[in-house]
Formats: sequence, C-alpha cells, structure tokens
Amino acid sequence: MRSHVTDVEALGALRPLEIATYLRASGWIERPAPFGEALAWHTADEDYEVLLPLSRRAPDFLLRVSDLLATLAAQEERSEPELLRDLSLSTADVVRVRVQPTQSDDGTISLDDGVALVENARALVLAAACSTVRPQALYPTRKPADAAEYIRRVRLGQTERGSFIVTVVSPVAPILDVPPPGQLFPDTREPFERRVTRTLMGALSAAHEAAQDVIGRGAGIAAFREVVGQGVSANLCDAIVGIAGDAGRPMSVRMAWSLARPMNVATVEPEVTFDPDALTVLNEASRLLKESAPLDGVTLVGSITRLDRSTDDGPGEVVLTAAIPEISGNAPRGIKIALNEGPYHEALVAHDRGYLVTVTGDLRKEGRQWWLEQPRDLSFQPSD
Amino acid sequence: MHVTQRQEQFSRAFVQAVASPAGFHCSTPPVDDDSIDLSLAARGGGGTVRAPRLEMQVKCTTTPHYVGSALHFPLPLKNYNDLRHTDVLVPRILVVVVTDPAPTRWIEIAPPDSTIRECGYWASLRGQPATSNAVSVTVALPLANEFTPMALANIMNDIANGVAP
Repeated sequence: MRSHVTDVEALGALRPLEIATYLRASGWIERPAPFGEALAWHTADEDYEVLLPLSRRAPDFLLRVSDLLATLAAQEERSEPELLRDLSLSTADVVRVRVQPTQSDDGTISLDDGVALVENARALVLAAACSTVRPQALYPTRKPADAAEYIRRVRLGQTERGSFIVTVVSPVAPILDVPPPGQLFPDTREPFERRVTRTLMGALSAAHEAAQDVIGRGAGIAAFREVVGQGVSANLCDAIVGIAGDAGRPMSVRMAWSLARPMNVATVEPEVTFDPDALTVLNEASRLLKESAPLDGVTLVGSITRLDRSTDDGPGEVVLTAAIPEISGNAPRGIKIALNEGPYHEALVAHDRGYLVTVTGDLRKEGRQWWLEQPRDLSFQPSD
Repeated sequence: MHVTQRQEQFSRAFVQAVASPAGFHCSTPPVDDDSIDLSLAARGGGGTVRAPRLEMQVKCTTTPHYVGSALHFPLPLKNYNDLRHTDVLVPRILVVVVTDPAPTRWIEIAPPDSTIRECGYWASLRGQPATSNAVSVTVALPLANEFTPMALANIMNDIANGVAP
C-alpha cells in the first residue's frame, strides 16, 4: 500500500480532466489555487488537500501529480498503482474479464489462451453492441453498422494481476449540465456506448439466470430463447464459453462505470460469474439458438449437389452443399434453395461443369432442413 | 561517504532542523526532480501534505564568497532556469548552507549548548531573466536572508496569504 508510483511516463500521461472527474465524483470540493494555473481540491472534512494543475505545461506538473496521487492514496487507503489506473480510466466504462488460469501461480497464462481471451472479450462486447441495436438470437458475420463502428472505438487496457484479467475500455461522453448549442435543455439521452455496456451487464445477468433455471429448476433450454430480448444471443454465449477456454475455467465479468457519467447501480448488476456447470449450459444454449435462429443476408459458397424439377422447364429446387460458418464452422450442410426458371437453368449448368456457386439469401430452418430464402447475387466460377 | 555527499546530507539536515521548530514537515519528492531537493509543507490527514507549501533547492558551500552584503554562489544553469519559473503551483527558493571545511566542526555536541555551523541563506529567483551563460549563473543571496525558523515561518505565512517569495 505504501508503494509510490515513480513511473514518470505513467504520471505524465494523466490528463487534468480525468483527475478532476475522479475528484468531483469522489466528493472533493474545488476552489481556485493560490499560484499558477491550477485548482485546489479538499475533502468535505477539510482533512485532505491536493493541487491539480490545469495544464500539462506547468513546470512542476509531475511533482504535483505525484503529490496528488500520494494524498489520494492515503485518503482512500488504496495503493497508488491502483489509483493511477482508476484515474486514467475515470472517463470510460471499464469491463474487466477475468479467468482463473489452470496451473500457473506466476500470473501468466498460455499465449494461446491469452489470444483466445482477448478475441472472445471483443466478441462479447460486440455481441452486446449488436443486441443494443436490435436484439436477436444470432448475428451473422456482417454486424449492424452502429455496432461495427462502436467496436472500433473500444480500447484494450493493460492486463491486471488477480487470476488473469483482460481490461476492455469503452470511452463514454461525460454528462454535461449545460445544453448543447442551439438547445434549451441538457442532453440527457444515454449515448450508444453506455447503452452497450448496460446491455452487456443486463444480458450477462439474464444468461446467468437462465442457466440457473436450467440447472437448478429443471427449465428447458428454451429459457434462453426468452432472454434474447434482454440481449442474450448465441454470439454472447459463444464468447463467454470462449473466454473460459477448453478447460472450462470459471470466468467473471465486472463493470466499472465511468465516473463522468454515474450509473444507478441498483438497476444493473455490476459483476456476473459463470461456473463450469453454467458454461456447459451456455454451450448447449448457443447451439440451440443457432439452430433455430433465422439468419438474414448470409452469403454461401458451395456446390450444387442435387436438382429437382417436376417439369422440363420452369422453377425448381436445388440443394447447395456449403458450410455455414456462423452456425457450424466448416462442416458442410445441404441447403435447399427454390429457384426460378432462369437461375435454375444456371444451376443446372454449374452442376454439370462442377462450378463453385456463390449465393446470398436469408437462412431459415424448417424441421431439420435448412432453406435459403430470397436467393440473390447468384454467381459461378470454375472450381480449382 | 565522499565529502560532497556528506555536505549534501548535512545541508538537508540543516534545513530540516530549521523547519521542525517552525512546525513544517520536510520531505524528498518521490519523483526525481533535478532542481527540487526538499519540499516543506504543513501536515494534512494521514501524513499527507497541505498548504502552505514551499519547495527548495539546497546547496552547501565551505568556501563562501561574500560580496558586500550578499553571498555570491555559482548556481548551475539548469537549476537557475528551474528556479526562476513564474508559473509553478508551489513556490520555490534556493537555500545555500555555509559551513566549515572540516566535517568535524559542522556540529559540536556540548550540553546544554550544542553548536551547529554555520548559517543558511535563502533567495527567490522567481521572475529572474533568462541568461546567455552556458554553465552557471552567479546568484546573490542577501545576508539579511538568514534561513531561520522565524524567517521560514514568515515566508510560509506570506504563501498562505497568496504572496510568493
């Protein structure tokens, strides 16, 4: 607890706005400082006092920030490194994804596991972003524009000790009390970024509850279909399972809301944990959601393996043997497509010549059979 | 310990000895700063620092050069430039401790009247002009500016009232 942060780069990277946000949210009171471009802050009981430079150009910026950190750490009874981290993240929602590594005690995990962890942490947040745009059971490779654009703004923070923790940083605009120019009232709508993090925690809680329903109360896997509206998707379930890894280690997700935009924590669970039993249920739930989910705008590549026409000309049905990556990886499936006369003839030719077929459409499942509806953008090429 | 290191330690101890009866806490900045050796302040909660605050560069000399009513001291250029800033958040001064060439004469224990040699002098370089010197600047510290508990208390009092030395 007494370790002083002497990392000049880390201290120098702090921005006055981040520190001020943190101080204000923690109940410190500001007043003008006697010297230089600065603010003096004190605790309500006036026992503690800090000087906050308003410009990084102040000659004693580093000295002052170092003092500030020491005083804050003493007042909060926390370590300086921890505080430094919180100060620099005070203007973002921070998602901490935590796994328990299997063998090592030295704070490391295998590189392969690490890569999977980061990739799935991204998938987790992206799934929540998709559900924020429009809740559905499964999202195709091509995600809604708002979600795809949001995920590009999300940052990866430094990993932290304590099992193994991956930090995902979602910057969020602070609440402003003043109306934007041209408006009468302050903007109180929740920005998209905050809706995503809120959806994430809500969906995780709902998935957790649904898993408990299945394990403890004998509910059917259909319990998961009922929480799609709360942001649970096959993509989310896959990400959670992916984070836990092959060994199915327990994992948890903890959210720290930006201090610049306080959250009513009574309405959203800030931390959700999944144990190995819940993970098994999630795996199954994901499979189920995929199997029954309609998937629009999917592009398939494969070969025509059957043709069916009751008359010599006119429309007919073909079977395209192709993989559906979103659902079953590389394993090919037979997908039926109803085609009009022209496209059917083209398919016939493609079949004869052994061409590869590319087609886009909306996937639906009827019983055990997959159908591609609204087929469009049909194209062929010789396979090599 | 090399003699210059001993001088350095002694001069800091001297400042601390003056600061203590005046009621101010002395500390070394946790972040390395070439020009600030000591930080003086009142004590806040949990051992933290609070206003009034003063930072200083502390030097030692055993061969003082007196000119008129001032002590002339060659201050390295970097220190000179760092001490003349006008936009620091905590005021800063230079203190030069004059002592005897022989370390055995720095402090003489003879109860009830022990002796510490010899005196510290302070000066503020705030707002001083830039210089074309390449190595050092000769600073004149008024001999009237003895660094005593009373003098320190006055400086801190002024600071508390928003007046920088």
